[in-house]
Amino acid sequence: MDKPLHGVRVIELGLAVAGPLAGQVLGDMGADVIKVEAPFARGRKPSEYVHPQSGEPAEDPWNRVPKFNELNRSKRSLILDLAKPDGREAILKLVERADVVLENYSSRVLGNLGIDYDVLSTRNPAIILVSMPGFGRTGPYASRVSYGPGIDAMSGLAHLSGYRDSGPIKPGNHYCDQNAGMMAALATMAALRHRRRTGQGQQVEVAMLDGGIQSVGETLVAASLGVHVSPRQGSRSDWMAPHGVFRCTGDDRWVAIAVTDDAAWLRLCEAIGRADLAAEESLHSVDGRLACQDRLEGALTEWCATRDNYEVQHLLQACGVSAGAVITPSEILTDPHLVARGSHPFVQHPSTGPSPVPAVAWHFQEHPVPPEIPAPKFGADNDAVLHDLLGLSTDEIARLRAQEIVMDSPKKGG
Amino acid sequence: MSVMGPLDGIRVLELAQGVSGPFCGKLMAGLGASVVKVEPPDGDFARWLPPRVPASSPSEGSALFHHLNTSKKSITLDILRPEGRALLAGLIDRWADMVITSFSPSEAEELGLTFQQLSTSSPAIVVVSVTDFGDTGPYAGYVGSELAALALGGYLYLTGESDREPLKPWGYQAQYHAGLHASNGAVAAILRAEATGAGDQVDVSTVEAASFLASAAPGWAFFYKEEPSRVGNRLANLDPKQFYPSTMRPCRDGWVHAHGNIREPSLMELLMESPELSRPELVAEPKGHADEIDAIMDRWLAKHDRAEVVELAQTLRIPFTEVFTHDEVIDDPHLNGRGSFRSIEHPAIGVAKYPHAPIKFSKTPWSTDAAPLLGEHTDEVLSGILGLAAPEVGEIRSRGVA
Repeated sequence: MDKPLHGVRVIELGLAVAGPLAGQVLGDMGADVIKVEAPFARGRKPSEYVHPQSGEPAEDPWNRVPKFNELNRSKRSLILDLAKPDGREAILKLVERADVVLENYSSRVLGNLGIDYDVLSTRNPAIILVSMPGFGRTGPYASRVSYGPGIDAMSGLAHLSGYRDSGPIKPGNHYCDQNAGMMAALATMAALRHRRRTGQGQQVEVAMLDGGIQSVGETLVAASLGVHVSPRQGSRSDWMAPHGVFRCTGDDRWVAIAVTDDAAWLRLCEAIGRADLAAEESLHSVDGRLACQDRLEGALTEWCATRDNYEVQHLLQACGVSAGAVITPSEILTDPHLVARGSHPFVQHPSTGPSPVPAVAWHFQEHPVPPEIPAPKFGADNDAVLHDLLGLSTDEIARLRAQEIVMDSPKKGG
Repeated sequence: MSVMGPLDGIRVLELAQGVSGPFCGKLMAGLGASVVKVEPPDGDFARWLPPRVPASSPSEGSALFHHLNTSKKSITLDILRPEGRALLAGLIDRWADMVITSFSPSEAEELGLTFQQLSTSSPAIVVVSVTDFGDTGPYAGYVGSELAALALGGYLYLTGESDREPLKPWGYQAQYHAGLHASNGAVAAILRAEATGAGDQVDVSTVEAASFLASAAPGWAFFYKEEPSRVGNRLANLDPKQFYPSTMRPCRDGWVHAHGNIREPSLMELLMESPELSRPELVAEPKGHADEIDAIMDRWLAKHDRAEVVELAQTLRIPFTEVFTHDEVIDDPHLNGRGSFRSIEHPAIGVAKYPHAPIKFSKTPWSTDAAPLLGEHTDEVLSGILGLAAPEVGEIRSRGVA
């Protein structure tokens, strides 16, 4: 059975995280995603061009950047210098044969390259242009520059997160980038449905900051009514207790325990052999437990300290208490549940061999679409796109190569 | 005729409670789908969660619920009773294109809410199940929570300071992300169902959404044989030559996210009038000297206000931003100026401000309307969709089924 986006063609002008992620999701869903890369893309510094296995320089280091490869599976690669007139003309020809253009350049770049929505829609009135600016094209910060973590900061998420005695701490990696990428994939599919029904293309803006504030929306609705939540509560909850992260045996090994209701509290007491705590009437309600969290956390700290984190997880879950080992990045690839779910399948990459890729968090049970196509090598599809799709002659393609508009290995510098 | 959202005409029954499934439903409703929330008689449990705001009735006092359930209708139905289940079956049969659930596989089976069961009469139906651990796998029967999903997804380990315990990000980030993934899966499945007539069961787990947020970390561990750890507010990368700063630091009156200009790192020296920042060892291995760079920045930042720092930096195209408090976010001139919030009146809590469109379409609207009162649309839906007369609906209500 065809994949959901079978027959859809996407031109991706994506850099860093959000744009490539959106393109990758659409590729997973079956779209023909052509990533148009600048001649010097895939890492600006030699330090990013390292052979991942041995640390020795390889013949094609630019094809071995894990951070690139994990965000660019399920795509084809075309290298095109859009700043040169013939490069611009080539992408406009491509847009005539595409359904979607996806980009996360800084807000002025498309205009500077002469390929903004007005130009694209003249060449293809039904085109859908999806842009992912940090702040959007309107409003006082429209011309600001920022990366994903700067948006985590502005959304309120970093202010709210933190230890009880610390300053603001952003969530790991780049939350708002990934959030924006997934929002953009959703936006694209929704716009495709509108087009299917009406024939209309449109311009779509997915500002990272607009997506970021959704994830803390409850604090904003409350603040607008004069109710202000207390930021930086560590790992505590305001409606569950105890609720925290506890050290286990081994180096940097931890377990997370959440007592989700009053019955779970009694089950926990039994599991950890603390009949004395179970007998305390005041602890039978969450309000009572919230009032003495230090003491309850102390009991769990003591009990966990001599145990392995997976052991705690199994013991407590067997008693119906929500607990989970705090697994490390390498354990993401070995944890039995994530492995069984197929969260990080291995694809065979032509340069790095078997490579783990993070799959999306949804699985179609009837018509599964597991990730199968590894990230393309630099310019791997130059000829297929230019010749087979655009119908350029061998001479024309050779001319583009001679002008360094089309490249098969990255230009120095950039 | 007014222009409708891109998912206009898609009819969604939402049986999910809490955060992840309802966030999926909220996004579908925002995009123009008709979403009817089927709540148990005492309501979605999120109605009882904090933050609590003053409300005319306790079931209407959760800001979390209000945010997660904009633009939906609500009916109450006791689906644990056969009569309630029969009414639900009628709604699915006559009306729904998609169902969102948060039941365990065995509960769903018992309620007749799996694709296998529903597809005999509705082959194009899309059933989206959003749970903490998913419908399959060794932990499928686990007691879930945001915290356990973050832990077992590997995202918790990556948040916080390297010399302290892993830290839970504020709120429900894993569940929000699961809801966002679920909405992607839902729309993809709908596009296929509309084209082919074949629906699907979409199995979404919060634990995998959390592991997705761990992003490059497992790949790094696999390729470089090194375990990336927590890095506070810095970027996760063990390479001392990596770019720096990218972190959060305090100014005189608040915090900034301090990030250099990657193409022109030397602009930082200009901003902070500090030649020290251009010392050869700092330039050669910025990440390796992060503590030293922080100390230099802190001396300058302590003498300046946050607004001044961000403005100066942005003028130089250095991507500094403010660390806004949530109270500042709600009043921010940019977000307010571009319509990122919408003020809506709700009969139980009055006028509040809600985050509005995360996606702005040039030709189709985004919908953010007030969340429904508990059971507000029970009569309308039971009579409108199932064709029940008012006395019949009254009977159903009096028996406590609706």
